[in-house]
Amino acid sequence: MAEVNISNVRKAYGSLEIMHGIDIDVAAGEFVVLVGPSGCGKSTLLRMIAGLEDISSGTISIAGRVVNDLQPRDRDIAMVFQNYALYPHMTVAENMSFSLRLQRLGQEQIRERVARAADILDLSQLLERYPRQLSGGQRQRVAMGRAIVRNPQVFLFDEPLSNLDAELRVSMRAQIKELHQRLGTTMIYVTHDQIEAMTMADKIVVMRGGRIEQMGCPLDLYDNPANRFVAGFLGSPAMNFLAGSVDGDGFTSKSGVKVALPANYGAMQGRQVLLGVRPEHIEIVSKDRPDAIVANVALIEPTGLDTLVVARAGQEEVTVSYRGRMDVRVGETVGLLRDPGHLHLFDQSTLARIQPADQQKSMA
Amino acid sequence: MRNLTLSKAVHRLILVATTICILFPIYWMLVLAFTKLGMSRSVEGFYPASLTFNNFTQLFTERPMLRWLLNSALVASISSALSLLIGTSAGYALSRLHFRGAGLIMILILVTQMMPPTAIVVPIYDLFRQLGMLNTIQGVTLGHISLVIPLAVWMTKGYFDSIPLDLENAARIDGCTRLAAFWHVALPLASPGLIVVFIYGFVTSWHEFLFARTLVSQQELWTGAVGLGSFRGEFFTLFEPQMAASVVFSVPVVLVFMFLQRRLISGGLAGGVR
Repeated sequence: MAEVNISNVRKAYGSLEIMHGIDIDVAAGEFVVLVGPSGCGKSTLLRMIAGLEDISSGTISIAGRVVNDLQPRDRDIAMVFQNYALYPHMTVAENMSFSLRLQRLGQEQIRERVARAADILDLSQLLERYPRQLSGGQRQRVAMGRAIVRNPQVFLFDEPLSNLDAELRVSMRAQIKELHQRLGTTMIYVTHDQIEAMTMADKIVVMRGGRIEQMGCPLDLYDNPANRFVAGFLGSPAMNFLAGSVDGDGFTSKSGVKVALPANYGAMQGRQVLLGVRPEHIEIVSKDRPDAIVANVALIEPTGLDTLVVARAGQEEVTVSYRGRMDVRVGETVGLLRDPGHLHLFDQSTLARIQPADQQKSMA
Repeated sequence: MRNLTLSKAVHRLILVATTICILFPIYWMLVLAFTKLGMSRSVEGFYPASLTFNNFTQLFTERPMLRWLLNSALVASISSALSLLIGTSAGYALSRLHFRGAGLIMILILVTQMMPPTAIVVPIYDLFRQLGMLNTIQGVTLGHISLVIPLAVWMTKGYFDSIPLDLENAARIDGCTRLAAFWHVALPLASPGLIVVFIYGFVTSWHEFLFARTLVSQQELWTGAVGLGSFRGEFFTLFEPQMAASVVFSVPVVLVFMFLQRRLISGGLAGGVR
């Protein structure tokens, strides 16, 4: 295992710059997930680490060695591709042993390493099959097997689960995480699925438009998003946002919905803001409670574990998520009560998070 | 149900009629090849009145048929192999290396294919005369290469385009150089397509008449296609020996195709990527 340091990395095609100075430090043995919407540059960055894409400026180091000008084969990495990229003319065993044969290792050593990887990934019965004779999940495991036989310093995963069905994705997710715990190797994992990012990562890097929006521990990003983009991207269902202004001791949305703010937001009188509240931080109560926002239930989506309720307060639409069972019907008028400890305010012009006064003090 | 049966019957009838139309000239070639010299006009049925092998033996005793066949084999093998080699290199480069002007190069290559051979044979004759390459096997081979390469480049580029780049990227991460990734991954996967290119080059060269006739005048350097033309005189044509020569001339191409067609396996890429 090795640390990976990405320093001020830029990528440009002619005058068009698509990566704008990326800085990431991955500690040895860390599981880092690059997450973001399509086109944010996460796969390009991974391919730059792999050496499959040139970088325009900056440095990428693996285990303290700058690898900018090294060929992919000299970087001591392994990569699992989104589309598996198995060699169709080779059996599973041949796919897994390909890199070892190129290294001219002895037959016995190759057999032993392939057998060990096959055992870890439950592929021992499939070694003589060709990729076309395997299911999607089996192919993905072979792709991982091909990576682990090499015992590389860093594993790179490029959306490895995006072609699998939901059930298989969950089980493979657990398998990759278990693999990381077992091998302890540094892993950099690209996905557009924020649930994958949240569940697997030691550290998440949220990207958009070739820039890092925020980087940190999954729950830290979830609880303290740096801006509106991160707040909206992480979490499913997504955070609710109401546009409005700070008025008196509370927030008033453009359509007139009033929400009391905790005192620690300080003096922000008249400031144009976005109020963010996660669906699980809103409670459905009786419409008669004086501190509740009155809303009409527009849609109910029970998932079994949770129930999602979409309610309209004036022109504002708010999603509420709650556990357990509740007798609420579409068209019914209910009261919505936000959890005052979990409010987020974002500046409407910069979309950056406004820190509560006490947090500003503690940060200072 | 009745309509379905009728439709099937009509379908089959059309297939049988088409097959007969395609195969009958070959059958008739065989009939004339086994007919006695000068008797082709008196054949009344669909088969010869009496069989003879004289036409075949005469080909090898009275004419240098074996030499012509060997010349054809030499020219076709070398020109198709070199066309494949050059076409594969160029096609791979055009498929994988993105550089300014690649599209223009492809169009220019295609334009050369649109020129009728009759339009370029005279300049090539003049060029080869100056280079001292008239009446040489090398000259005919080079001429045939110029005919085959344009399509070979287009076809190989198409085959390489169909192979996902990530397979070679995976190989490069696994320890290959770019060249080794081409050798270990792209080339084996493109092999069915490359065999098609080889067959196309071989058949084109084997059948080619115009260049072979124009660039070579010495009989011992003729290819089989030119040799076949020699049975036609100013006042008469020796149909029976010519048909026998045609049969002999056809066999190697059929053998090459039968040998290589086993390697034309479809679905070679299945399972590699999703």
